[in-house]
Amino acid sequence: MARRRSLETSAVSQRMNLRRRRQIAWSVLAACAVLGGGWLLRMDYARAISTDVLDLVPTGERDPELALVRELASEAEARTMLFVLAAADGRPPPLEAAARFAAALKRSPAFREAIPLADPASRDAAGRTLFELRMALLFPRWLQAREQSGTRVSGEPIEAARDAAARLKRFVASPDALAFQDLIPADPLLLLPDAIEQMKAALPLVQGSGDGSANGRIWGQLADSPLSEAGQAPAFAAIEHATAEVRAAFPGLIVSFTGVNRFAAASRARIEREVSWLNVLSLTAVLAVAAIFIRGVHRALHLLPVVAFAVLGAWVATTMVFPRVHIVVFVLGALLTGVAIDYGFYLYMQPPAGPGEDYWAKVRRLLKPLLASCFTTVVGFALLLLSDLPLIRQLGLFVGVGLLCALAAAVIYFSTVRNPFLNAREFRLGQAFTPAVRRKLRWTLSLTWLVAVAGLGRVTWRDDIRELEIPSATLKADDARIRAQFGDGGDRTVYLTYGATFDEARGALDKFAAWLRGRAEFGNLAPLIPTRAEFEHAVQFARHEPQFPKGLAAALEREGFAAAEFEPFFEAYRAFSRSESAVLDAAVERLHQALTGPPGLLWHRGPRVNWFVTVARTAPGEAPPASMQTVAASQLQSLNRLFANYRRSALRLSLAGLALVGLGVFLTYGVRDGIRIFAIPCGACLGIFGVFGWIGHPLNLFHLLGAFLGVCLTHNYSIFSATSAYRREPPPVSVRLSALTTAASFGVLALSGIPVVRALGITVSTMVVAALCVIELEHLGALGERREAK
Amino acid sequence: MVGGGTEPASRAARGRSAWRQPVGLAFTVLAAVVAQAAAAPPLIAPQFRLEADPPAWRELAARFARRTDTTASFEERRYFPFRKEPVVLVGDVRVSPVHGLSLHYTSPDERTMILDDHGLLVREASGQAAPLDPRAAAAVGPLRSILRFDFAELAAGYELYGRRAGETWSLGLVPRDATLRRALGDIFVEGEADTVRRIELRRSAKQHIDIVMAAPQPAASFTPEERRRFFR
Repeated sequence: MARRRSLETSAVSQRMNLRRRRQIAWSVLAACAVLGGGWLLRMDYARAISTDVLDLVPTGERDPELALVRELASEAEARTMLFVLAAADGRPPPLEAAARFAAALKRSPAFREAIPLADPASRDAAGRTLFELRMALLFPRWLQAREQSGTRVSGEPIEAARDAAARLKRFVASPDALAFQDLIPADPLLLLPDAIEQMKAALPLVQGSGDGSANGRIWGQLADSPLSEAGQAPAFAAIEHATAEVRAAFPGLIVSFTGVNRFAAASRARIEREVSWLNVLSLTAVLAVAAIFIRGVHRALHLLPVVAFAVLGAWVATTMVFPRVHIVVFVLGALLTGVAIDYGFYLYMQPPAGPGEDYWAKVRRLLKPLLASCFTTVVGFALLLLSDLPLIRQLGLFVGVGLLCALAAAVIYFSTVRNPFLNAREFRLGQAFTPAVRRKLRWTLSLTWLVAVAGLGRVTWRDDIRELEIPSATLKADDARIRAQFGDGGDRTVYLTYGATFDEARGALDKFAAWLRGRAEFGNLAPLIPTRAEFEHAVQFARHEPQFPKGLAAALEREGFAAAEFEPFFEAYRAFSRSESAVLDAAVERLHQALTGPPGLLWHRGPRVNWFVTVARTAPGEAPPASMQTVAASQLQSLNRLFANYRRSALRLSLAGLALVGLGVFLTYGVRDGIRIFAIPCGACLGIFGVFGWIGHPLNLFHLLGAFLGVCLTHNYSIFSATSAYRREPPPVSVRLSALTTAASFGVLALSGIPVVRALGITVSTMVVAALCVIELEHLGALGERREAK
Repeated sequence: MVGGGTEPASRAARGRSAWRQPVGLAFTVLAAVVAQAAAAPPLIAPQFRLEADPPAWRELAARFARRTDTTASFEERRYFPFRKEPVVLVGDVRVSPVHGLSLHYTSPDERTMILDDHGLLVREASGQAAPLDPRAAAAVGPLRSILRFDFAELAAGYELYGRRAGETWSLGLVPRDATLRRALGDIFVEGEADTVRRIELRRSAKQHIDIVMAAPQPAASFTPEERRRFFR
C-alpha cells in the first residue's frame, strides 16, 4: 500500500516536473522562434541573398585575372545577347526586319540597347564623333607613326607633308573617296579613313563579317544582370513580343538568340526539376528506412523541431553576420539537417538507464558523447571562417551555428516529450556474425583499406565550373552557331590589358600589341586612342612647329589641290595647338559614350580597374609576359581557377579541421582510445578518396565538401558507438538508423544529373556506409574490453 | 578609252594662226552646246516624271533585257571642290545578266569593283578583296540597275524622270532616301538605243562624277578566265 502510494507520489511528482519543464522549455523555444522568425520576416531577401556567381569571387580578389573577370562579367559583357534572324527560307532577311526587331526590343525596359549590325547608324554616329575628335585622338597616333618610321615631320623638306599630299591624291582616285569627299577638306591627313581601315581588321573579330549575312544580326544588351530574375523572364517575354510583331510583316521569320541568361534560366529550370524529384525520392528512401527500423513512425516527427531550430539558427546567424549570402550556402547548408538530426536520433533513441530515469539524468549520462561530437564538429567548421573565400566562410558559420542550435534544441525539446524514447526494431546486422567472423572481416576490411589508401597517390583534381550545371548539348550547339556568325568561331582569344588608371592600361596596351604583332591577327582600340605621352607630344609639336601647316599647304598645291579649301583642317590644327591635357580625357570620355554595340565592349573605364580588350585569332600558346599587364581572359578558365582556389582553400582548412577534430577526440578519450575512435571518420574519408584514385574518378570541391560532411557524420557515429562500447553494448540503433537514412538520402543524390551534386552524394553515402560497416563489425568493441580489463 | 581625251602637247608649238582656227571652232561648238542646254528644260521636272513601268519605255527596256554579256571602255571624271582638276579614272565595264556588273579600273590604280546579287566587292590589284564602305557602295549601287535598265528596281529607290528623242534618251534619278540624296545627289543617265553612254552623279556644280562610256564591243559571252578575273 505504502509502495503504491509512493509510486503514485512519484508519478505526480514527474507530472509536475514535466509540466514545469514544458513551461520553461516551450518558453525558451518560443522566444527563439519568435526572435529568429521575426528577423527572417523583416529581412530583404533580394538584397541579402545573392544568386550571382560573381559573389563567389571575393571583392578584394588579389588575382588580377579573377578581379578582371569579376568586373567584365558584371559589366556589359555578361549582359550581351546575340540574335540572328533568318527569312523563312533560311537566308538573311531584309535589314528592315532586323531594324524593326531591334526597335521592338528597345521599347522593352528589359533591354538597354539593341543594334542591328548591318545598320550603319550607330557606326556613323561613332564615326562622326571620331571625326570631331580626330585631332585629339588620331593626330597624335599619326605623328607618332611618322616619327617612328623616320619620316621628317619638321625642317625642310617636310617629308610627312609631302607624303600626305601624295597619299591624298591617290585616295581621291579610290572608291572610298566617294564616302569621305565631304570630310577631306577637314582631314587631308586621312586620319579618319586610316582609323576606320584599321578598325576594319578588328571589328569582324567582335561582330562578324560585314557581308550580306549581317542583315540578320542584332546585338542586344540587357538592362539587368542575366543571372537575376529581372534579366531573364522579362527579356524572354520581350523577345517573344518582338518576334510576333516582326513576323506580322515578315511571315515565317526565324529568330534564334543566345545569352548568359538563356543558360542561367535553363539551368535553373533543370535544377528545380531535378531538386523536386530528388527531394521526393530522398524522402521516400528515408521513410522506407525509418519504417523498417522504427516502431510507430509518427513518433519520429519529434525529430523535426530539432532540425527546424538548427536551420533557423543557422539562417539567422549567417544573415546577421554577412550582409550578402550566396544561395549556394543555403543549398549546401541543407546538408546540415543530415548532421543535426543525429543529436535528436541519439538522444531520442537511447533507452533509459533504468525504469523511471529522469530526463535530465539521461541527458547528463549522454552529455559527454553529445558534447564531444558536437564541439569537435563545430570547431572543424569554425576553421572555415579563416578562409579568404566568402562561400567557405559563410558555409562554416552556417553549419557551425546550426549544429550548436541542433544540440541545444534537441536537449530542450525532448524535455517536453512525455516519453523521450523512440523504440526501434531489433535487427542483428553485425551481431549476426560470430566474434571470430567479425574479427576476420575486420582484418579483411583493414587490408582492403590499406590497398585503397595507396590510391591516394593517384587522385586527380578537375576544377570545372561547368560541373555546377546540367550539361545541355542543344543550348551549347545553338550558342556556338550564333556566336560563330558574330565572328567567334571558337578560335578567338580575348586578352585583357589592365591598369589601375586609364593611362596605365593604355600604356600597357602598346607593349602588348608590340608583343602580339607577328604572332597573331588581332584587333583592339589602340588605333583610336593615343597614350597620354603621344597626345602631349603632338600638342607640343603643333605649338612649336608652325612650318608644318605651311608645308602641307604647299605640298597640297603641288599635287593639284586647292590649299585654301583645306582651311577647316588648318583651323582645327591651330585649335589643337592650344589644347590642355584635360582635352584628351574629355575626348576619351566622348568616344567611350559614342562607341555602342560590340566595339563598346573593347574597353572599360572604372574607378578601380581599367582595361582594353584585344581579340586575337590563332593566338600564340604562350602567355604574355607579366610586365604587359595582360591576361588571356577566358572566363571559363578564370572561373575554373576560382573553383580550384575554393577547392585548395577547402582542402587546407578541411585538413586543419580534421586535425582539430582528432585532437578533440584524443583530449576527450585519451590517445589510445582516441586513435581507435578517430580511425573511423578518418579512415572512411581516406579510404573512399583512395578508391576514387584507383578508379580514376577525378575529384573537385564538392567531393571535399562531401568528405567534410562525411567526416562530421561518421565522427558522430564513432563517438556514440564508443559510448556503447565502453558499456560493452552493441552499437546503438540510433547510429544504424541515422547512417542508413543518411546513406539513403545521399545515395539518391548520386543519381543526380548535376555533376557536383552527384559528387556530394557519392562521397557522403559511401563514407557513411563504409563507417557503418566498421562500426557494425565492432571495431570499437576493444574499448569496452580494455576498460573491463582495467 | 572614249570621250574627252586631251590633244597632244605638240599642238602648243604650232604658230598662232595654226591654233586659232580649231580653238575658234571649239568655242563655237561649246557655245552651241551651252545654248542647247540652256534651251532644254531641266530633266528633273514634273512633266518628265516616269512611273515604275512606263509604257513608252517598255520596248527599250525589253531590248536591254535581251542583251547578253557586254564590255565597254569608260572614263570617269571626279570633280571635287578641293581639286583644281578633275580626277580621271579609266577602265572597262562588263555587264552580265548572270554575274552582275564589273568595273575594272586600269588607271591611275588597278582595281575591280564587282556589284552582284551578293553585294559590292572591291578587289585590289593584289587580288585582296574587301567590302566597300557602305556610303561608297551606295554611290555604285544604282549602276547595276541602270546598266540593266531595270525600271522596277530603280523605281523602288528613286523618283524617275525621263525623255526620249528617237534613239537617244535621258533619265534622271532622284534618291527617295534623304541621306542617300545628300550622299549622291541626283543621277543623270544618257544613252542611245540599248546602250548607256553617260552617267553623272551630281551633288553640285563643283562636286560631281561623270562617267562616259564607249560603244559596247560586239556581244560575246565572257570566257571562264574573264569571269574569274572580273566577277565573283
